[in-house]
Amino acid sequence: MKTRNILIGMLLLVTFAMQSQDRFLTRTGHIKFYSEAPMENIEANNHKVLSIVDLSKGQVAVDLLIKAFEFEKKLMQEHFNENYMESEKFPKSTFKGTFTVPEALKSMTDGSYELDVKGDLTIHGVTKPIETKSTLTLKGGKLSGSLLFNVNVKEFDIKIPNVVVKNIAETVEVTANFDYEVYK
Amino acid sequence: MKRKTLLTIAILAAFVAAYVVYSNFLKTAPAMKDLVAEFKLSAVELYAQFEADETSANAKFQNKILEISGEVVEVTSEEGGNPFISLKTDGFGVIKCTLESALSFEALQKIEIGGELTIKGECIGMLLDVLIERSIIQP
Repeated sequence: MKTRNILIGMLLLVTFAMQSQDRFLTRTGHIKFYSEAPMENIEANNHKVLSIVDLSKGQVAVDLLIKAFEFEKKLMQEHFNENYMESEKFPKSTFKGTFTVPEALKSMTDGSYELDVKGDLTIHGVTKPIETKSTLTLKGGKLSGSLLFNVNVKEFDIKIPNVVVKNIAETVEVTANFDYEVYK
Repeated sequence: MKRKTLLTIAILAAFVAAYVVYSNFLKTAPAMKDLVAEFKLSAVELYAQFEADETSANAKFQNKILEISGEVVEVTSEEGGNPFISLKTDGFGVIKCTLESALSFEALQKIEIGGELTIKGECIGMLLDVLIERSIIQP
């Protein structure tokens, strides 16, 4: 945490020095996942996702805690944490990615920008490279971002017992929505 | 006589099976009000410990039941999720407590910004804010 404070301090200095607004942050980002299986469809929401975007470097970071996912059924939420995600052992999930910043976005021109994001996704203690499309929208100085990708549960070493194979999809659709604020 | 014994065994076996299924697959965790807090501390103190050393604070508090008291800075309710109450700290983030169940609009309105509150819940870790799940407001 100390290093984080120093980092934040340094970033503040850099931001002031450059007099620009190219770092954006949200701590109330929304990530939803959706599993479609023959027996049932399952949806879970996490409204406490931390994300930082740096438009000068073309970097994005997403951090979340697995236990912050909320399910409609409590029992499902418990199974998700205890049996599948082992969230006591692997409490966090992260994504760190890079993208090429369009010139128009660099100069803070309002608009919607589709970007190719490449990065490393860590779930359940397993890190895998992923590539996905993301949309960043700039409107009146406000930045918002959205992205969608699919996660194959087996790739992340998440074991689904045979009994519930018809209840949980092998590939889970993840959608993320972030309304950023200027980070100062 | 033999038939009776067999019947008794069958009934007993059915009960055992039902109990096993219940305790392994159907029982949910006890409600927060029935759990005892392992630590009682202020929001300021909790955040300070995470800020000083996240790893050791995680080892101490993560997945534990805490009773935290502090000043309310924000009450928010999100669509598709339970409402959360943020408690003030001296650091960069807050202690963000997500309630165990949805409160009525009136109950949420009653929570005063700037007022003191004690909340019991499970600490799940830190992401700038320290997150507390399944929270209930202590009387």
